[in-house]
Amino acid sequence: MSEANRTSDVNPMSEPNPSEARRTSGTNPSEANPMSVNAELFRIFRPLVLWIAAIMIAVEVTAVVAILSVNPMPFSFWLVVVGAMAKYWPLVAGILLISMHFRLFLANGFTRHEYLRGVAVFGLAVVLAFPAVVVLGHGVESTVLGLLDQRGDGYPLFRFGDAAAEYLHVLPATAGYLASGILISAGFYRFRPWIAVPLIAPGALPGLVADGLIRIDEHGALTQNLPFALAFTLSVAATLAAGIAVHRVMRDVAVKRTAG
Amino acid sequence: MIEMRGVTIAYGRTVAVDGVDLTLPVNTIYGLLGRNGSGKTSLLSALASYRRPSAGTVLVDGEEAFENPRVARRVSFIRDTLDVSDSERVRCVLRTAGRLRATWDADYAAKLSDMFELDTRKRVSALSRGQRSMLGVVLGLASRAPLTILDESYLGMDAVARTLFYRELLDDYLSHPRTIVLSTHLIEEVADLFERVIIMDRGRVLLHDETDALRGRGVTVTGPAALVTAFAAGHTVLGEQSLGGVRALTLDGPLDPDDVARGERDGLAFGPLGIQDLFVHLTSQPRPLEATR
Amino acid sequence: MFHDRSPIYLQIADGIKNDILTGSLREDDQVMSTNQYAAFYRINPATAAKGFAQLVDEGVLYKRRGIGMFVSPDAPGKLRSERRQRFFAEVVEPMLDEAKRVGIGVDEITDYLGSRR
Repeated sequence: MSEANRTSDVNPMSEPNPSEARRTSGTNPSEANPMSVNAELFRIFRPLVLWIAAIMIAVEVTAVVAILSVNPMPFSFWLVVVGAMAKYWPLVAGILLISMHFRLFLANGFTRHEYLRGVAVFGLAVVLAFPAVVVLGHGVESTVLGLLDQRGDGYPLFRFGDAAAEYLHVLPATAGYLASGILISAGFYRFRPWIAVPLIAPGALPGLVADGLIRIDEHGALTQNLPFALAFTLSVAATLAAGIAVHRVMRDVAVKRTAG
Repeated sequence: MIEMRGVTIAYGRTVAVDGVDLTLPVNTIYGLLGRNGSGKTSLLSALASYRRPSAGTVLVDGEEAFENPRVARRVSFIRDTLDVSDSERVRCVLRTAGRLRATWDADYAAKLSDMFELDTRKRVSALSRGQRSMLGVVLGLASRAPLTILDESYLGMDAVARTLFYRELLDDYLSHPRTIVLSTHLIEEVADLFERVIIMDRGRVLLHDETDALRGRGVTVTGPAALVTAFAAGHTVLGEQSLGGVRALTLDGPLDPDDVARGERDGLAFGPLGIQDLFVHLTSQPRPLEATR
Repeated sequence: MFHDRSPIYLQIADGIKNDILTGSLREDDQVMSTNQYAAFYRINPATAAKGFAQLVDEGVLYKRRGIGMFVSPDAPGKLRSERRQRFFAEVVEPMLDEAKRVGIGVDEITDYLGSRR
């Protein structure tokens, strides 16, 4: 070790020295994170949203053109396809939010509560935005078909005055399915299958309640199996209850060790 | 300062970690050793707040760690399974970490990836076991987290990659002092990097000491059975072997140099025990016996 | 470089003492910082620091605040006299023990040493 023990002219103390700086440094409290949970969730889902949007529009255009080659449009294709999408996309997104993205955030320095708060903000945005897309698309479809004079009997004419009612008939199911997706997948995240499988039933309640009470069909018929205010309240209550259940299940859950 | 107080982790009736108390000064490299199933990963999961202890608490600078954002920001826990999306490309995984972690050093991550010759265009699912481990090391080191926990992060790495990993770990620690906990079975090749060693056995902490104190702590005494037995009186016997009239005992030292000198004069032979051997003796069944007469 | 059968900090201290005795480190020479030492020998800096602290305690090295550690002016002399004292106990006595075991008499050893003069 002979020569190595002698230093050159460099000042050996100018470099950081853990053995001397130790025990004093290293505890300046929380630096702000560069990105919030919900901002990152929007970023993660952006490609997914764009793809779905592209597919929806492509399917709509193709199908409408095909149908119009036979006869004028007898129903709103947009309300059928995108109306269904407004339930199932949130359901799938809800499942992914727990099964895939949860640990990603936990592994990068966020707490369970921070993540759940981010999911709440993200979920709220989805619940507010998706029904709007359904209504707007219907409006565009109705207008274009009107210009082409291809609205058949039974086609639900879009009226600005009905937009709010339409919106409120789509929203409960979007919220319910999203909540169900999150809750069911939270059950599987936390519990073993023989507990999680029976929990699918209560987990599905928000979606089923919303779907059962408030509907819009391809002819634009708005269905409420109870007075709207009551149906809407019940549906929102089921969704909020699911939110509370998700918090209960996830607030101290162990970050699962899974390959993939 | 990181403290574990009475941390217990139970899975149903199986107790993986059993009332562990540990005080860990910060800016130190720790080696966590233990056999398979000794509770290492469970202990680390509690340390990183990946799992809430069934009983007990983890405190960081006096603050309860579980669900504490201030603590969470400062912890990076890399598990052998990796907590990333398998379908993503490596560079996306690194970018995500960069967006989410304030302390992330993207240039350093790129440098490490280059060093490991990790193809960042590959999807995580296409990586070999060793490359997954390399990705884990990149995520752990480039996060520059004040508490970085690497759980068996060498799995599948060849000797060259492991050497690069250890070298980089030390160099980066020298320039960015922080608390690093490394769990491992390959004690001999990393022991020099550890300031302190924690040995777990069956859910308990068997030993927590300066690494240097373990070097030469174990001693084998060989010689005529009667003499060896007499010498061992009062020492903890970690292992024994007999052949004819010759007996070899492994003692938990350190021994008094005068005793050793006297023993040598009486015809006993002494041999120091390496850390690996000491670990094997300490953690192999049955439990260390008290000195037998 | 280092073996793990005795504490590394003692091996470090011994190594530096040897360097001083052989003259590759001289009076008032600066020695490596603990970080340089740790990086060079790939050991934990705290372990290296302990080795240096031991040498400072023994008066072999002295510290200059903010600059580094240096070989004490009296270190070579002190180390030499220490080693000389231990020479007979640590080198000659074991040799005589071994000689006894294999039946080499003291005269024979003296003759041998005489021939080496």
